[in-house]
Amino acid sequence: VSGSSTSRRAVRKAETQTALRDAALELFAEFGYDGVTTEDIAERAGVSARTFFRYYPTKESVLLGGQLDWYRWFAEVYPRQPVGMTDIEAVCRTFVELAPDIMQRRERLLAYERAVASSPTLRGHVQDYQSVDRENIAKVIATRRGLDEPDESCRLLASVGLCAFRAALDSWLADRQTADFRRAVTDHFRVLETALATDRGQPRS
Amino acid sequence: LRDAALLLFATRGYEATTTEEIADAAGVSPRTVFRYFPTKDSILYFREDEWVIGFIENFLGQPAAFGEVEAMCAAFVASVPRDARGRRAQSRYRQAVESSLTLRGLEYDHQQMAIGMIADAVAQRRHQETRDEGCDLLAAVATLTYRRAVQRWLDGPARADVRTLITHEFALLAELFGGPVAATSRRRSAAPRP
Repeated sequence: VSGSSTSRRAVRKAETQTALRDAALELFAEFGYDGVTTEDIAERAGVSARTFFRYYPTKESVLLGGQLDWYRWFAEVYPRQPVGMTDIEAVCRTFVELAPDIMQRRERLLAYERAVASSPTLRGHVQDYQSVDRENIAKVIATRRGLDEPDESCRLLASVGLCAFRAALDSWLADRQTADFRRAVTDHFRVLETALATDRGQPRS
Repeated sequence: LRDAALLLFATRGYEATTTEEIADAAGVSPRTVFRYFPTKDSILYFREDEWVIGFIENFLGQPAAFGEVEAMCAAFVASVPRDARGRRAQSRYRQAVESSLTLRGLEYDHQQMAIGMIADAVAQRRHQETRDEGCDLLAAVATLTYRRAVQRWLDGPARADVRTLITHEFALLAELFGGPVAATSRRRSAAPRP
């Protein structure tokens, strides 16, 4: 009995969290990120301002907090890639495996993009979150390489991988024709492979 | 004016610095500051377009026999401000950016603009009418590679040659994709793989 009440509580918690996030996205789309307060978000979701802060420590975390799960997911999938696969292929494959999840969230991602476009401050927050993400991904890459700590090559790969992923996401969000995000990911990684595998990449002396 | 502003931004923080203080430090009136720089962030970015345009000219002037990334690397090596004054200015700029969230957002916007201009140049070098997603991505990756090298230069000893660091970072990039440059650096950094 107590088990079912715990799970009911968990469900209610998840519902409140989702309601707050949806309310935030609606309001940001309507008034811009900087024109909305945490009180506004709580009111729209039908909860108190105190409840808001129980779920989200800051206003930006309503938008960016979910990213954390995303990278936990990367950390889970990346090490499962076949040993013979190059690092860059493994990064690409990991993003491809993440695609179905991304594809279900198209509308929410578009709302997120609109909010980010509305505020330089929020773009600043995004930069900060992304540098944490990059370092986390570099650690996961280092582990697969058998290193204790990421070296510069791991960090560069994390940056390049995220950059290609980001570009694929932008292209998929911008273009309704590209129905398949997986395709967008592999296309973008292929562009880089073509440009770099055939190129010396540094001036001849 | 810019040197005075950069020093104030770096030491006191970007948000905390007023136009009046910048005018004071440079020995001019606030009105003069506004005449040159209508907004505070325009002080930080006023010569950036010039720099990007110079870089692009250099990139387009690289030998046709060079690969794209190779030409990009050569153009970064030729354009990077590498004297002590350039290093100081960039280092203060980084400190200013670290002091302000809004500035980190604006920096992103400026980067995107520069990447767009570089992507146009990539399309031009390919004799394409317009730039496509491939040009955008290549410009973005080359820019981030360059920025990482400059950051390492700013973090490291002043005597290091930023041009060597740029070449090294592009070699690392080629190595990730199994490019021919990889051979030497791969041996050097042979990491045990599971």
